[in-house]
Amino acid sequence: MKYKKSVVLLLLICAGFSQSSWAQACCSAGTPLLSSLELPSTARGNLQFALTYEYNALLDVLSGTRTLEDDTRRRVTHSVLLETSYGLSSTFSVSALLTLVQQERRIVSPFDGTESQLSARGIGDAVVLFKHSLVPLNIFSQLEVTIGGGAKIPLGSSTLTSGGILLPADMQPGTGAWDGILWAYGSKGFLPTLPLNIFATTSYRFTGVNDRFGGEHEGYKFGNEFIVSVGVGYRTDMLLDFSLHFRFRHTTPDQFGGSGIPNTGGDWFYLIPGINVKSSPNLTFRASGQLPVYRNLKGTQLTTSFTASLTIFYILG
Amino acid sequence: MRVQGSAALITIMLSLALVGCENSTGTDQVTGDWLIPIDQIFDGGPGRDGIPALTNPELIGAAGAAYLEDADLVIGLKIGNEARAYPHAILDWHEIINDDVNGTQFSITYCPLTGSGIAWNRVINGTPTTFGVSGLLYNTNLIAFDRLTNSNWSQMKLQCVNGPLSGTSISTYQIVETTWETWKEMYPQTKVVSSNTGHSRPYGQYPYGDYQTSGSLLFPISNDDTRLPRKERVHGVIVRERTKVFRINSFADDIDVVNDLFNDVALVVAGSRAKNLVVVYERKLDDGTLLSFTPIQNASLPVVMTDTEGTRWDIFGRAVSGQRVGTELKPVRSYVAYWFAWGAFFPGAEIY
Repeated sequence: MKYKKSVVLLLLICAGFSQSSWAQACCSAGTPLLSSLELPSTARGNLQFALTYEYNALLDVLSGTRTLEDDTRRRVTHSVLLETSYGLSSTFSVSALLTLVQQERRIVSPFDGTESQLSARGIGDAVVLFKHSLVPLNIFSQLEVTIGGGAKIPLGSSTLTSGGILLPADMQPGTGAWDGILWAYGSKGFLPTLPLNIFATTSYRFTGVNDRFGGEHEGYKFGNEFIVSVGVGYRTDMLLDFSLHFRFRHTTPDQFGGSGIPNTGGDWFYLIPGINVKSSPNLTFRASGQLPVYRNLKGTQLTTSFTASLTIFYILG
Repeated sequence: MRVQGSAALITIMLSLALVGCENSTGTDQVTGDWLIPIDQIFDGGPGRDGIPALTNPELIGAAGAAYLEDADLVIGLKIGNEARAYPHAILDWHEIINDDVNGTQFSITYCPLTGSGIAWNRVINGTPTTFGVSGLLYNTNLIAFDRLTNSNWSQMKLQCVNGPLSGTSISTYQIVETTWETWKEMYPQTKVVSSNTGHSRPYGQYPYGDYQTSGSLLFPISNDDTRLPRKERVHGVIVRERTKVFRINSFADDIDVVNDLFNDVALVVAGSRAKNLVVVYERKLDDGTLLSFTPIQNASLPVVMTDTEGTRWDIFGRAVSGQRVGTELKPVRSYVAYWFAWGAFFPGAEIY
């Protein structure tokens, strides 16, 4: 009965993101795939779900570290990410991440102020990650160390067109290439002395080459990506928990035909506050945002001004 | 087992719900037929007007252009007694400058990815318009659009390739592309585009990394001719569908002149490696006289060559002294671009 209720609840949530919700989709190129893989390992027989909607507003134009005044261009990505984790054993678990993407581009003409817009949507790429707990979490040490490895699967299209013309790589739902992922997670709690826990995640994605221009042409490769997040969570006895973490992200430039693409790649440093609402022992809601505190980009780029996300966590078992 | 089955069911349901939802929509879509293969047109990323063209920019005297170095390249135009310079430093960020001189209306178009600078006549079928950057590329080259009809124009093809004016050719004005130092020497009273454009851009900083000097491309091209280095700047001449390029690096440091015959058209080609310039004109006059030219060594620019009759001619093909003073040599369709672009647009181009 409990499981039936859980399934019904999850189905209701997913129904809210049905195909008719054209505004609810997500981007893959530059998508928060790695940064979304922050679930720890899962206990044996447990099934964890995390359903996230993220709004990513790219409003800032930077040249290196310098912000240029340019309010004519705007990019928005809507991401829906469903992460499912299942505990295979006391030390092994597997996570799968599915994505929906909608990319939007808006230009305000400096000539006459007219606005033109373009959007592309579809299934994004997926991730499968196998996790091994080197130090499984227990209530005595409150320490967990887990490592993992897996792949990003190119489920999403990288060849969408508009009016028959191939859209840019970063407007596509998918990257069109298989990538490899390495991942590690650690956390330490301090109960009952302090209602705090600290956590860290690091991940590296080494990207493959796609053939979005057709087999007779050279391929496109997104830059490799490295992310490290360090944070602290504050637990309360009430409904709310709070978290604050810092994320550093580095990407290498994209490549075409083996050569670097200008105006891609760089370093970002974000501050990420979050609030968790514990509805029940199995169900938690989280609201969080991502605020850039330092950016150093290769060349001149439109980049993230802020993100806002909502996540539902559910544990079965 | 029940848990695993539930998870599988949910995942499958979600996947099925998502199938077929790939789509692109928007007001930015270009419709209609193209005169060029549509699968060779790419969206460069910024979108229509994402790279803002300039119109009637602020102009300053040469002394005020502190943002320019002597070796920087400019596109120079002279109409009547007015000389104007349009620097690559500005054009790298805006690609099109719509301007007019005493009623002569033109657009300086420059594509940083193909290194091609051409002055277009922006009076189309008797009606003036302005051009903007569409954000689309063909053979990595700029596709501009006109604001009068929203037609799309291929810069290097000099032709409208989509829209109500499809098939229309664009006429051009003679330009001289050279170093800022050389242009100032030629026309000390020149006006130049100010860096005060109304846009926040790091002028003087090249926006494409090491693209100018590397052999890399950003998009596929239809034909990759490897006879010359990809990014070598060459001056190409188009005569009745045949093309011939002159390598700027093959000219002497001082003014050098070549009297050539190409596709039954007699040409004079004047160039200088050190001054980074090449100009081309027909050397047969309207009265049928076929002239031959020699360079004037240590010339007092802009006078660069003399003919067998003793007439002296300037860089814009105007006779400045001698029996033919006031006569103008007829320009030919020609411009500078990277070699790879010539090879892509005009396969089999001859190399002088």
